[in-house]
Amino acid sequence: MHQLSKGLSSPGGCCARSLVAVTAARTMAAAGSPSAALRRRDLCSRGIRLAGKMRADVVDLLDAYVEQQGLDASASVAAVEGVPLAAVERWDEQTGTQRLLENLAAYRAFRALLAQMLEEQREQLGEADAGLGRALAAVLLQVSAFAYHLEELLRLESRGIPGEEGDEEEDGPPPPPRLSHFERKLRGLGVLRELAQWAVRSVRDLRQLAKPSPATGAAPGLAESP
Amino acid sequence: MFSRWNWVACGFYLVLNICSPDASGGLVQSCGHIIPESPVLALGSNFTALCILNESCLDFGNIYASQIIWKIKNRLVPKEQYREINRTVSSVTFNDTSSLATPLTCNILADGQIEQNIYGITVTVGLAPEKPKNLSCIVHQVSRFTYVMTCTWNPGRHTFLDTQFRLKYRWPEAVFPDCIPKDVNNSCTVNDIQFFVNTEIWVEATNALGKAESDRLVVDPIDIVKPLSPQNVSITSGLLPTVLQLSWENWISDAVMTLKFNIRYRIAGDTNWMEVPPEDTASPRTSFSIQGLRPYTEYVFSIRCMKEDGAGYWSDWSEDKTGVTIEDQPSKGPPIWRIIDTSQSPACWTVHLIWKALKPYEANGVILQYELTVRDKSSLSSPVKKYNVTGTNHTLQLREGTYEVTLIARNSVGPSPPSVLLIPASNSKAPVKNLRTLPKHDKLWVGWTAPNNYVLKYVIEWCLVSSSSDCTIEWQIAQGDVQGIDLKGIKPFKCYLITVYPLYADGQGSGQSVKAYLKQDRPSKGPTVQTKKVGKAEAVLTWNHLTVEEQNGFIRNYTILYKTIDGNETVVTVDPSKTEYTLSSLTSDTLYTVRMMASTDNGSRTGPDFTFTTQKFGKGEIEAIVVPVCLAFLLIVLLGVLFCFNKRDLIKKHIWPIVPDPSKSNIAQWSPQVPAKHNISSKDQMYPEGSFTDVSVVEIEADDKKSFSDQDLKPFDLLKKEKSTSEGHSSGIGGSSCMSSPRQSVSDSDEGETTQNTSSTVQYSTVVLNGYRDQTPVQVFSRSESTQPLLDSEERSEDHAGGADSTAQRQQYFRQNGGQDETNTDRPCFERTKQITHASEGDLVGFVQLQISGQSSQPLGLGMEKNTQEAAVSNVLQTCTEGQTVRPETVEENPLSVDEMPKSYLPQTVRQGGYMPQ
Repeated sequence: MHQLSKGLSSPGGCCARSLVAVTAARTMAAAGSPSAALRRRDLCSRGIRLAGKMRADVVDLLDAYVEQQGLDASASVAAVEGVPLAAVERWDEQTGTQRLLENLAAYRAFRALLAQMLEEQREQLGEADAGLGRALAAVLLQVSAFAYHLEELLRLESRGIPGEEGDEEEDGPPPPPRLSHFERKLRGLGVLRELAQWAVRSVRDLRQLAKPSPATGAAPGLAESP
Repeated sequence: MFSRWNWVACGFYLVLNICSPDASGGLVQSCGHIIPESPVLALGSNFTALCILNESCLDFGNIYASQIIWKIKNRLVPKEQYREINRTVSSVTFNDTSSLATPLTCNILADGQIEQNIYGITVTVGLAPEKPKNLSCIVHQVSRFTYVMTCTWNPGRHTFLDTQFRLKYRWPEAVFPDCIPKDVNNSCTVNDIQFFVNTEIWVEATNALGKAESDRLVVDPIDIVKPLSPQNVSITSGLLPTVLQLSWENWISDAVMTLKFNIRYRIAGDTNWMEVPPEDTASPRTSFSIQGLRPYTEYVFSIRCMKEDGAGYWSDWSEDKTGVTIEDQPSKGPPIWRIIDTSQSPACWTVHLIWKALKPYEANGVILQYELTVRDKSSLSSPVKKYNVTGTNHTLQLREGTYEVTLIARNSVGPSPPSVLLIPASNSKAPVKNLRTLPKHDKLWVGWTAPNNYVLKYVIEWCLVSSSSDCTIEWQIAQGDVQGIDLKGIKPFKCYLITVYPLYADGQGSGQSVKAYLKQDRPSKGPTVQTKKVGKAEAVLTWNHLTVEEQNGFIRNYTILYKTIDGNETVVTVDPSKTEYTLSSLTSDTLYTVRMMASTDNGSRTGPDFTFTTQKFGKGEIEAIVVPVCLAFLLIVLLGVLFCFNKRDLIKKHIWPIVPDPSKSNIAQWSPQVPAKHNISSKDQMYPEGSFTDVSVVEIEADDKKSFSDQDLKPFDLLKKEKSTSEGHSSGIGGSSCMSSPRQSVSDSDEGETTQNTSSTVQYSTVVLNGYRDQTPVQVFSRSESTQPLLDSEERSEDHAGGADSTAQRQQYFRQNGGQDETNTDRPCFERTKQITHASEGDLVGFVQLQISGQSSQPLGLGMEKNTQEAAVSNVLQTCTEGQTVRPETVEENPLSVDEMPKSYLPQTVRQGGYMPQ
């Protein structure tokens, strides 16, 4: 997992970068073709199902986390810093690209937060509760995979992919504020709750994207549902 | 001398160089080394190694590259493969590394003789890895949230080297750690697998000779999932007897994938699964109602699932779960049949009603009872009889007639439809035709041709034919539209008697029977043959039929095999119905071995050998020989007798010379009765069997009558005395031997007394008996039965006649020597006695008595043989008898001769109680 985390946290690594470049070139060459439409629909379909599974896993993980950390499931948690809120006004007025960008930003944030939580989890419990760690790692993978889906969809939209914060700032991400042990628990709870919310929203966003776009004349929307 | 010292110093230096540790504790530097060091070589490639000598050794030991020799595992490499590059370097080249072995050593010949090792390397030969092929992956669900992916591939050929396989997988933006197989080289399992992202998977094989990668597999792991089978399967009975509801839990959430299902079920105890149509269970669900089931039947269910769109793999079948449908009323009535026993009387039936228990799918529950109704159809006034039975048979006593039997099975839900059986008074309807059987694997097919009339049902009875027990009937009912059924439970090699009855609406047809085997075998034993009768050229063989248990099939024929010891075997085939056969054209007086073989369609079995020997002669042959021989013999005898008869005179003269009649002798003439005696011609009747073997004849001339002195007559007197003495013992005298003589004599004497009174000229004989032991003997006068003394008893009448003639010329006196045994004496005596009796009764007047003096009763000391005495006495008796028989003539004709002849009497003795003739 260490290697994986490293790879995920530094997607600008040589291998990953070269793959992305190859894929982007391929995508640009095929943009607007029927295969691109199929690709978009396939990505949406997988994304919807992935988001659905992610939500189910996060809900299960929330229960395990609350129990393992000795928290109250009904405890109110303040909004997590750095994560866009899933609930937005005038959601149905958003464009597809806007939705994809907001989703991508959110999941990139979740990816970093979950990796931090996983690290803290290992430091705290070691191998004592491997089950919770595996569940966290699984959710982290799903978040990462979903972000990949979003990036692919953005490429199909012929839109540039915004760079991550880590890439933009040469100094790297700001060090996380020093939090107490309990505050870290609460923050973890807040991250998982917000992720569950975002999973629901992502499903709706992708369904919206999968619908046939009169502007683009894309193929009919997918009938699949999570 | 210097050179030699130099070589010794060189060798010592080499040893020092190789063996002595240097200051750092390791070995000192050797005199050379090989390049490359421990190479790994591809199999089949060429290889060149260099051995480089150190300069120091060159200087001190005078060793050069030209002295280098190469060895592979102590085997010298041919020098053709060497090449001296310079004075310190020698190379060796191998065109094919397959000839290499470890170690490859570089050596030097010091002084041309002493071989010293310079250096050695290990050579490893192998193959580069092949490209792994046939990569495939499957994601196993191991728990509710845990999935593992196992990939397998074909690693290719063996490389002979340590080859490492790595399963690599990655997302476009992420690289995952490699999966390294443990203990195997063709599969690996990845524990952290994520769905809904296309994952690129491949295998990389690496060893010292190279690296190879498989084709890349790009797949979303969700599409290769083999989910866990549905859990906690439960079955509940519905309200309907044909429905069961199946419920379960899916262990994979709809968020991951939606599922479709397969449901299979079977009746408990059955092995054939039925399946719910897949389209009925092609959508996600957690329960399903299975319909169309049998009531009151236990079913076993199992379920499996897979991804709804068909991507991936079916799960394993879940554990079997059982459920039972609820009861329903029986679907049909029990098959019923009857066996009628009329052994008591034809008019009174014992009807055994038998029926089969309904099969579970027909009973639809637990049969609580059977309701039996019997209606007498021949008498409308007879009440209907009802019986409730829990078993499957019922026996009724019925009068001969037509009956209708109705049977209903009832369970807790309700009754079955009725089964009706008509029992007619007689099976007068048409039977089935062309009844036949045909074995079909383990079943016996029975077929028939239907009668012309409409048949409701057929009843097929069958039973195992046994010689030791009764036929236990099994039966089965077939519907009227079939013309054949399969009988189950039929044992091979057993004979079955199969009977088919057609049942009509208004009666029943007579049964047609056939015997059949499911499978035939050769008989278990052969017939035991034996002979019933053996003749000269034929033998009648008999045998017993094999028992039905021994036959194992239909006996198609018997085969008789017989042969002589050294002859060819003759084979005769006999009809199986026979138990006797006559072998003909056999050789007489020959030992035959015969055995018998019984044959079925599937083989034969031979019985024990039996041997017999034909007779030497045929029937009647012996008779045909013996009878003619006997007849011929008899004929010859007859001819001989006739011949002898014709030549009897000649024979007689030859065998029995003519004996002169003593009565004609001079001595005979001394007795006054002699002349009368010679008139008797039936003398041979008195002595028919008398014979003499030794005869002494004394001839006395009639003219010498006077010359007889008293001395001459004494013997005769003594003879008389002897007679009187011996007669008392009744042994030697013919009269006494007849036992009746004494008494007869007495009576005769009594009668004779009267006779004496009438005629004093009659000569008497007197028999004097001695007393028994101390008793006083009673003297009895009796007719003398003695043939003594004149011994002519054996002569025939002819002889007498002849003798009489000669007697006229001469008087003979002879004496006999006992050639006649008592038997011969006795029997004539008996005959004589009868004659005498008859004569006594007929004419007592002519009875002649001879008186013998009482003095003669003294024991005789003359030593005369008893037979002689008997003969003598017998002759006397004969004389008397003759005299008696011919008495009338004698009396009439001989008065003159008596007068003329001198009266001569034997001395007479009167004893006490005796009788004195007057």
